[in-house]
Amino acid sequence: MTGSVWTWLIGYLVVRFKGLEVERALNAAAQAGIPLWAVERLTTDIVIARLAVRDFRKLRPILRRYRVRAAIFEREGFPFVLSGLSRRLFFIGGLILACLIILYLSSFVWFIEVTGNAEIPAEDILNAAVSFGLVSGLPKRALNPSDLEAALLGRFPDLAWARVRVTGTRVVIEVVERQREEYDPNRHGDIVARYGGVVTDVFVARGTPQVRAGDEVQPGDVLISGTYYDRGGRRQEGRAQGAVWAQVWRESFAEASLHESYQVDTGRTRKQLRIRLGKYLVPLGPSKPFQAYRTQDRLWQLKLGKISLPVQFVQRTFFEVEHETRFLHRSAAVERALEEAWRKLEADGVDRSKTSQVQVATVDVPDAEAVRVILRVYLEQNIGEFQEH
Amino acid sequence: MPRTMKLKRHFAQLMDLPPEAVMNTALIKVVGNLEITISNHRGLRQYTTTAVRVDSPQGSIVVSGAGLFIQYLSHDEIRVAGKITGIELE
Repeated sequence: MTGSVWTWLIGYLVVRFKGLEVERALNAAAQAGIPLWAVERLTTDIVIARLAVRDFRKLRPILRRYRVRAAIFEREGFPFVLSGLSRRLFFIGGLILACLIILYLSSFVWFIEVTGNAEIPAEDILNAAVSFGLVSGLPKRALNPSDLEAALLGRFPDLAWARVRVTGTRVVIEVVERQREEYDPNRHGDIVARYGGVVTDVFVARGTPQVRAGDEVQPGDVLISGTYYDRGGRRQEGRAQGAVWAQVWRESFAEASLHESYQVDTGRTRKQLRIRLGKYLVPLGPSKPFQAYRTQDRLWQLKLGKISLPVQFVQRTFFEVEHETRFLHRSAAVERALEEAWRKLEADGVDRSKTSQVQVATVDVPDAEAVRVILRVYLEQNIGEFQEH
Repeated sequence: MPRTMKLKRHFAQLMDLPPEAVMNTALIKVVGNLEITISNHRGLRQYTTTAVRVDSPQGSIVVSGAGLFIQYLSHDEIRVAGKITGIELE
């Protein structure tokens, strides 16, 4: 029984015995049915022993007989823990209340995330989820993941797969988008010109060529027709395949201001703690400490094991800034506008390294104190694109 | 050995009974040099950190060692732990 959970549950005392006949007193106690454990000899006349709370009163006559004094050294066990806690009722109550509140708040959805999307913006998926009832603060029991998955797949035909996963107070919408179909021989159609230019070479894998090298074509002209005649002379409809290279010119323009506005840190900073409870944000301190500023956030997410609690702490640092304007040299402005024009062309599929000729024209925009750059490039490229019948 | 004790011993052997149950003798159980349990003892006579002397029906049992302490003491059992170096029956 000694040292067991049971002795801790019923409570025990650590008692210091002092006297010349301590051994005899301990013997008599043992004979009287008072078990002792962890008996330690401190000095020649002092022994420390442990005994059950209920046995302490039974010791009195034995101690008197052998002239041994006993003093309770420590009280251990559950009854004493309980009595200690009873003196801190408000603390215990608060603790229980906090646990209950956390438990209650954990039964709601507080955070919604979208992962796996590439083409479809996450906001669109989130908005669709909101329209299907998934909002921050929704009780988890009211959420039906399979219904929501089906609704999302119905709303976005480009989604191949969707899964709604609930982890703690977070709902993660995992999606996989459909791969764009590159080639489908069952779709009939022609190869048409995406850009205008002078044809330099034609390669036909399937279909009937409509242009030859040297022809000038306009955007939308049919370059390779999907219509062809088989060996029996019968007219057939199919999918045109091939490539048509042409010398094309592409143009874009961009503007750059001759004045540049930039931010300078003044060195003054302020910090603000923000507590985010689900969709509610509680700022502690002023939210606009300076006239002009930039911010930097640090975020702490409270977690209970793997479960994210609906509480986030955000430390926002405000850096005071001043806006200053400086004059930009014309050549620098031209360079900046030219780079922007190139960026536009590259976004439209132009490979800068494959251009055969580049023409740049600059025009001043006096009212706006800016410079405009018109960029024209010549290059040979495949201008064909498939167009379905 | 007195005649009654001899008879009890023969009886225990005959009936295949544990001798300590029939003969009122101490039962000593030793666990390595770490712990010794003495059942059917007659009381603690002396206790220091280097020696524990316990009375038994057959005489004194002296446990010597270092850092000895009594793990448990009741009317019929005493358990001593520590680094035990010797057990002597007097």
